[in-house]
Amino acid sequence: MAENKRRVCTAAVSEALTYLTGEVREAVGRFCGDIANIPGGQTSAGEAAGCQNAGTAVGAEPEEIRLRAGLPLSVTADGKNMFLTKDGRATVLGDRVICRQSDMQYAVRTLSEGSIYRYMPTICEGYIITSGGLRVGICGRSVYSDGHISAVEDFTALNLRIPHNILGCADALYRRLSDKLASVLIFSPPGEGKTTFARDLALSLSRKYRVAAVDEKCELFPPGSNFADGAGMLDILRGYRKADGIEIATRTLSPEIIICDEIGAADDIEAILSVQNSGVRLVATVHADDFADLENKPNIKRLLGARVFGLLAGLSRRGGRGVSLRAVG
Amino acid sequence: MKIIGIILVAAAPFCAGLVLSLSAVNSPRELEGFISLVAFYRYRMNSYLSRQAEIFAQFENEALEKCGFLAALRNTELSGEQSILSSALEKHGRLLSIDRTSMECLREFADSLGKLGLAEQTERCRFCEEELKRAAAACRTQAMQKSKLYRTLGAAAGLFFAILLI
Repeated sequence: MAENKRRVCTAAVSEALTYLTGEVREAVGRFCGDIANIPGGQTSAGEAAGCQNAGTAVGAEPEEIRLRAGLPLSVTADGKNMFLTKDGRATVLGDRVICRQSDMQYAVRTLSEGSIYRYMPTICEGYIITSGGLRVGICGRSVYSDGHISAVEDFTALNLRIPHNILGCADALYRRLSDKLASVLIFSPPGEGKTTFARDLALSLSRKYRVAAVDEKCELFPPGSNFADGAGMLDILRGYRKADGIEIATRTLSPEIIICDEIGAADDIEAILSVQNSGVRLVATVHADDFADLENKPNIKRLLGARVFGLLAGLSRRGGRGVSLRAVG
Repeated sequence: MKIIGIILVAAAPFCAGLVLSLSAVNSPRELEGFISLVAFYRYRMNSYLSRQAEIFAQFENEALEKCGFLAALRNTELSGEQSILSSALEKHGRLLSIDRTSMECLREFADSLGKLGLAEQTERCRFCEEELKRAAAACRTQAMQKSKLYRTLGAAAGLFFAILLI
C-alpha cells in the first residue's frame, strides 16, 4: 500500500514540477528529493517540517505546493505548513524563496497549455484540472458580468494539490457495507482524506455493486489519472453539478450506489431527497469537525432528519484515530 | 556555338527576371496563409476549445508549408514564457517574406495567445485578421507591379545582351 501511494505521489510531484520554474522549481524539487529511493513505509516529512530544526530535505511527500505572487513559496507535508529555502529546506524566517509574478505567469501558462480560454470556466470556479489529473486551486482578480464571475485575471495564488491514492483505506467500512448496504455520510475537517477515502470505497463497492460517481470537481477520479484502475461497475460523471448528476445517474444509469463529494448546497440536498425513495444508496462526504458539528449544519440536519443515511463515518488522522462509525436511527 | 552562346546569355537575365517575379508573390501568399491560420485558430477555439498545440498541428496551408514555416511551427513546443507562435516567429521568422508591419501585427497576436478568455481572444483574432487582410491587399498590388517590373527588366536585359553580342 505504501509503495502504491509513493508511486502515485512521485508521478504527481513530477507533473507538478513541470509547471514550476527557476528558484521555485529548484526548491520544491530538492524538498521532494529522490522519493523513489526512500525505504518502504518511511517519510521524512517530520524532519523536513521541523521548523525549529530546519532539517535537511530528504525526500518528503508534499500534499500541497502553494505559490503566491510576491510572497514566500510554501509547502504542506504531513499536515504541516512550511516555507522553503533555495535548497529545499524548511525554514521560518529569512532566506525563503519568494514567488515572482513571472513564476505565476509561467505556471498558469503551462497549466493551461497556452490555452487559458479552454480552462476559463473552471478557473472562474477556482480550479484547473490538468490533463495529468492534478487539481490546482487558482485565484486572482475576478471580472464580473451579469452577477457571475466571467473571467479571472492577474493571478495571485496557486495551490497545487498532490493526490494521494491510498488503496484499502476504506476496507473496514466496505466490509461493514458488504454485510448490509446502507447510505453513508463521511465527514471530517478539511484535508483529512475524505476524498481519498470515498474514492477507495467507490472502487471496492464497484466490484460488487453498480456505482455511479458524480465527480463535479473531478477530484474523485481526475481525468488522466489512474485512480479508476481496478474499478468494476463504475460510472463516472465528471464535471456534472451534483444535483444534475444525481438526477441523471438515477434516471439513466440504474445505479445501486451513488457517490458524491462535498455535499451541502441546497440544490444537492433537494436532489438527494428526491431520489431517496428510488432505492439508490448514497455515499457522500461533507466538511465537519465531529458528530456535533455535523448535526449543527442545517442542510445536513435536514438529511439526517429524513433518515437518508444509515451510517455516519467520521475520519481523523490526528492521533491516528482513523474512522469512527455511528449508525443512525 | 556563337548562336547558342548568345541565346544562353540572353535567356539568363530573362530567367532571372522570371524567378524574381515569382518570388515577389510569396509575400501576399504567406500573408493569406496567416490570415487562414488566425481564422482557423478562432474557429477551433470557439467550436472545440482546442489547445494551442492541437490547432497548429491540424492547420494546413500551401504557402506556409512551402517556405518551411509551418513545419517549424509544428515542431515548436510550448514554453512557459511564450506562446508556440511567438517562439516560432522568433526562431524561424527569417523563413518568411512578409513585411515588417505585418510581422509586428503577428507578433502582437502571438503574444496574446493563451493569456485571454474566449471572448477577448476571439476579438483579438478578428482584429489580427482585419489588419493582415489590409496588409495583404496592399501587398498584392505591390507584388503584381514588382512582378511585372522584374519580367520586363529581365526581358529587356536579355534583349540588350543579345543585340550587344550580335
